[in-house]
Amino acid sequence: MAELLRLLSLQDSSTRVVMLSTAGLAIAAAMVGSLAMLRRRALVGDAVAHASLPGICLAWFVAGDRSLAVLLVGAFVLGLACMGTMALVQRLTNVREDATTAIAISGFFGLGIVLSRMIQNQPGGNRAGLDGFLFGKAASAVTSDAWLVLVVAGVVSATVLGLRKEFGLLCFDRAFAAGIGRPVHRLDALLLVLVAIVTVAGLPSVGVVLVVAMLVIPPAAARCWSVSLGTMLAVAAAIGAASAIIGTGLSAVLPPPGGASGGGWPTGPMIVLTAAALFVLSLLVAPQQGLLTAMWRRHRLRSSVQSSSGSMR
Amino acid sequence: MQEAIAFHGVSVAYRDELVLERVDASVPSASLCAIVGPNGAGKSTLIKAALGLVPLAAGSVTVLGGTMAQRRAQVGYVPQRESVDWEFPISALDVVLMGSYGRLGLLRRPGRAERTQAMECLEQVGLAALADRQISELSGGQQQRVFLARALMQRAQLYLMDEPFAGIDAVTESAIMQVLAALQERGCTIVAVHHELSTVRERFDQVLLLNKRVVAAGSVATAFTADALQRTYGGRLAVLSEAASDCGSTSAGC
Repeated sequence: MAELLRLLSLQDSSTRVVMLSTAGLAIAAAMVGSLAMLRRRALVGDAVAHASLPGICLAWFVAGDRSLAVLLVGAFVLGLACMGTMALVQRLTNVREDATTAIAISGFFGLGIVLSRMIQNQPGGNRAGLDGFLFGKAASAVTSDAWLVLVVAGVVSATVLGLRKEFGLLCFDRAFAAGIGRPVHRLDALLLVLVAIVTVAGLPSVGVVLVVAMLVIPPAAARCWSVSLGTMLAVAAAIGAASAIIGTGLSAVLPPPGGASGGGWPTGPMIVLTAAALFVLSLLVAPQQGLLTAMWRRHRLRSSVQSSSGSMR
Repeated sequence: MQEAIAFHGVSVAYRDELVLERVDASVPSASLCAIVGPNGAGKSTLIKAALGLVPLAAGSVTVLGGTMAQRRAQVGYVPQRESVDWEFPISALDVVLMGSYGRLGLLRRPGRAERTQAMECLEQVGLAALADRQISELSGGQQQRVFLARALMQRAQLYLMDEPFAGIDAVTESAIMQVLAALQERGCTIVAVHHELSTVRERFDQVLLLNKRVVAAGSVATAFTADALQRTYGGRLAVLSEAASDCGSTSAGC
């Protein structure tokens, strides 16, 4: 209980930075994810995430330096390589986009698992590090890494906000955007690079398997509340931040599942579960499309029709 | 300036298939021109080629006496209605505001002046009352009129429209016709892909009959003949010749 209070009051400076960085990243991911979803590229983040595992392993082999920044650069490079491969297959063959994405996700992830097994069998291969990337472990993150993530999230968010008019046009009507002379290919590429950046920056806290949730769930929830791109970005950011803070907090204060000796709750799943809960809530009670809202409106309509026909009698 | 737009030997290929072959045609200024032809004739592609949205395999396009890159600010565009996601979270007014993006540049956002102009454009198409409506709540005809209002917002000299009359109601049809007439009055040129042969005579004064190549082009009176239609559609539809010969005066009969 004392620890819960300490956490919520953010007295501990390292917890504060870690939580801030996770929330900042969630905000950036939610905004980029909103654009990706409206551009129908929601699954690109998943492909990047799964391609990042072999990237991390290769960086581990090549660089010898195991700092987070180096591993994430490896993840980013393979993420871009994966997107490039997908684009090339799309262009040159008749394989459909969903199939291409599925092949890329599983293929790169399989390579990553093989490489990580090779690392584990090496003398210096401490497996804890790689496990952290699979499911995330923000609670134990290093302060300097947290700052790095926070800066990345800030740059990404600023880019989205600065260009939100252009990204909105690109997502809504690409042909018109091209017609007025916009560099639509470059804007599309920039959007994909932003997706890759937030995905890779989200790996330490949420992990390879679930990081796509940060790009998809808050935007999907926000879509229920939105009448404009601006509100969608704002609501998605708020839901992302709330999920990150609540999820990180829960994984830190809940008693570990395996007793004191076992590992703690994984952060990634906690964040994702919180986001999923907020998504379900949005589906039920959102003002326009909410399921409960619609039921209530139908009920009111029926009773008003019945009462007016009753007065006729 | 005599010609609003001229195609010089334009060929376009998708992968290894030629969809437009050496198209030579021009549209005089201040005219209303219909591009007519069967499915797959390359009508939309011709408009996209003019806008530079698809690469030319050969040839060139002159727009308002210059290249498209030079004249882009004076060219308005109405894409096919089906080409966008109408579930997108955006209001009618905000779609119209996109017509001002070309002159605003990448970073400036539309302000009060642009909003006033956008309201005027919505008024011209009879949708001022629905400015704050989500586009998903509009009917197909209203969506088409929003697209037209956005093109008006571009304040262009030449308007390229991809099927502005497709799947619309009577109110929208008359609203669009009024707007097009007003534009023509101001000296603007309109080039529109058009599907209904029966309405070509009443709505347009120029016509471009297309089936990968130009079959016939010129004023409706001279180029829109039964013979030219037969050649455009390959004689597949006998009714077509009637559309060309009879429908000129008795539009109600078609």
